[in-house]
Amino acid sequence: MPVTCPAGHVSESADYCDTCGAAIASVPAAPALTVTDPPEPGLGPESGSISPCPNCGAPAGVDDAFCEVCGIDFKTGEMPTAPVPAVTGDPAGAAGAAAGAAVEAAAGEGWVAVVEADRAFYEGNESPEVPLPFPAGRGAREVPLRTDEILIGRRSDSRGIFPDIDLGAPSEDPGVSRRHAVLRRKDDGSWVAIDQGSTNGTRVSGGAGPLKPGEEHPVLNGDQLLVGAWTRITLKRA
Amino acid sequence: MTFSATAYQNEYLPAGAGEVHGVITVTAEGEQARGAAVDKAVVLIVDTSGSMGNPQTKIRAARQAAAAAVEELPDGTWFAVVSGSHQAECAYPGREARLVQAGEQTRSEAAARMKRLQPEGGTAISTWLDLARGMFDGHPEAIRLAYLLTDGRNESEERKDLERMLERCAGVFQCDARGVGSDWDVAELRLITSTLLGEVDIIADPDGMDDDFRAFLERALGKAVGDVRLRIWTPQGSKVRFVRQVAPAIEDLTAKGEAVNPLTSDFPTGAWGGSERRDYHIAVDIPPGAVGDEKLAARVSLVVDGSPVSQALVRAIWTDDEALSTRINAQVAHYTGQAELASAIQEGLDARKRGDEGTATVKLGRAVQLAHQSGNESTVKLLQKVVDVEDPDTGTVRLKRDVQTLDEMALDTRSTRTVRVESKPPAAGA
Repeated sequence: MPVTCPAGHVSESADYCDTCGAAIASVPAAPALTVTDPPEPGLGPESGSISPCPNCGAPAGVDDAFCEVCGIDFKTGEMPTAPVPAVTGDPAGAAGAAAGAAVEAAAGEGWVAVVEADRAFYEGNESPEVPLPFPAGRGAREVPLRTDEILIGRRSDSRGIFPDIDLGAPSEDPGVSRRHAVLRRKDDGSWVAIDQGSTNGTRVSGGAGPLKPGEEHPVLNGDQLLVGAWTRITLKRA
Repeated sequence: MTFSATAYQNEYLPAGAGEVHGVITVTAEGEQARGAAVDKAVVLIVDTSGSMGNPQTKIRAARQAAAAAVEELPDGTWFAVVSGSHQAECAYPGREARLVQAGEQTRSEAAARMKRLQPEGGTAISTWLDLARGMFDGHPEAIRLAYLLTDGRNESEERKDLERMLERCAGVFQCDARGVGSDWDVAELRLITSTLLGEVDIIADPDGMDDDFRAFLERALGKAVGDVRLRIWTPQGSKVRFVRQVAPAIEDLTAKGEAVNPLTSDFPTGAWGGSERRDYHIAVDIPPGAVGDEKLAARVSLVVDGSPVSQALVRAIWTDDEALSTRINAQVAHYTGQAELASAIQEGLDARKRGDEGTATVKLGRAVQLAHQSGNESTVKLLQKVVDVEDPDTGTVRLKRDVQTLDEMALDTRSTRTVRVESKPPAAGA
């Protein structure tokens, strides 16, 4: 059925105008709540998804590493470690509340993570295939550690990943994995860092090499985590 | 058999920009149903010019390989053998020059005939192709594939004779080409295979002919669909910068576009087998939009035997968020690198032949670096026969003093072969 595009062309295609290519509103393929969530910009397949997710049945691209709906890792078959909230209302708020409620009491004494872009670390990194410009002029920010398990990563609405320390927009660090690392507070009150199998690894200041994924590494007051292309996270007692 | 197409790109553009890149991955899955098999027509074109008798091992190996190949043809396959020198002759079935169906009798007759191939005369490849074309013409319903084996240069005719003939053969049949030894011209055979949607390769040792013939037949008989095209729509006011096959090997298709309508062109990709994947890199310049606009930059459809079966979209969204617009898509970056790798090798070898060692060192060094970084190990190995690598990370190399012509030709011939991005999250993020 022909439709009219914003520029006034009559188009046989209902998604994009077949004359000028303009997006036509109320496209059936527009982001619905679940399966057709727009893929991560520039990362995932844009169309032509092939096989259903073995866990939840949602369509998934052949090259996807994770199911965009339930978050299962196709390679390892593991579910995400943090709770994946239902996609309703404000997903970030939901995630925060869910994770926060369980451990509110234990997190009485104050710790913060100071997040900043570290030029020396950036320059010491092996230059990636694709040059990433250093984000000059961005100050440090403090993230209070309100729970006993702090996820460091980049937010993804479609995968239901809502890190406590979000290195996604606006101060994006593209070298950080969606689920990059976790800061966990032990029963004795001390902190450990655990890399979550991130692409580019996690380093702790003073340590020799990147952390082994899945292994606990103690982090003391003042210790620094180096992640992604330039991000330094300093653990501090407030 | 089912086809699917998937687009990989960064769709975000800064204000004022209009250059959009996308990598389209096309996969064919599922063997053809038995019984519903498509006819296959195969013509073997064997160089029997005088040089094939020098040394005799070449013609002997060619005889043996051709005989073994025809003996393996399954019943019902249409076939013929062309013996080529400065003129073409239908070695089998003979003067009437038509394809026959493989069966017990035709196979043994053909094999016996192969053993009597005599090396004599010059080399005029256009006559060989012309004879094959005439035979294929009678079988428009079949998947039509030729295999051309030569050991020398096309010296008995002008380059333009060959070019003209290739134009006439394009679309009639596909053709793989193999050069035996080191006296043939890589560019010449590449011209044939680029035009006729085939692959070029080197057979360094005549004893390798047998296996290569068999491998060709296996691939040919595995083809299930004869005519697959990429149909690319781009918006009004846009220009297709390039359309390139980027895996399994680099092949520029830009000039092969056939207009379907003013905004749409078809790019032929030839026959496909039951489980194949090929990747294409498309770049389009479209009129820039305003921040917040979303436009379709290309609609890429797969057209199989005339009917569209699957499509992938390359989009453009203009944003003032630099974090989005500067993001580089791993697939696009990878294949941009692989294309640069192929041209660095070819330019480096050219410079080396001209005696321009400075340029050769820079280009081949860059090639080593690109091949190393992208994990293209087989290309690294081929490069190591031409240069001494001091540091693959920085591309520091020294030209080797004594290089075997065969090694140089193998590198040149295989320079366009690419590797894929490993299917892990892209390096810049996950």
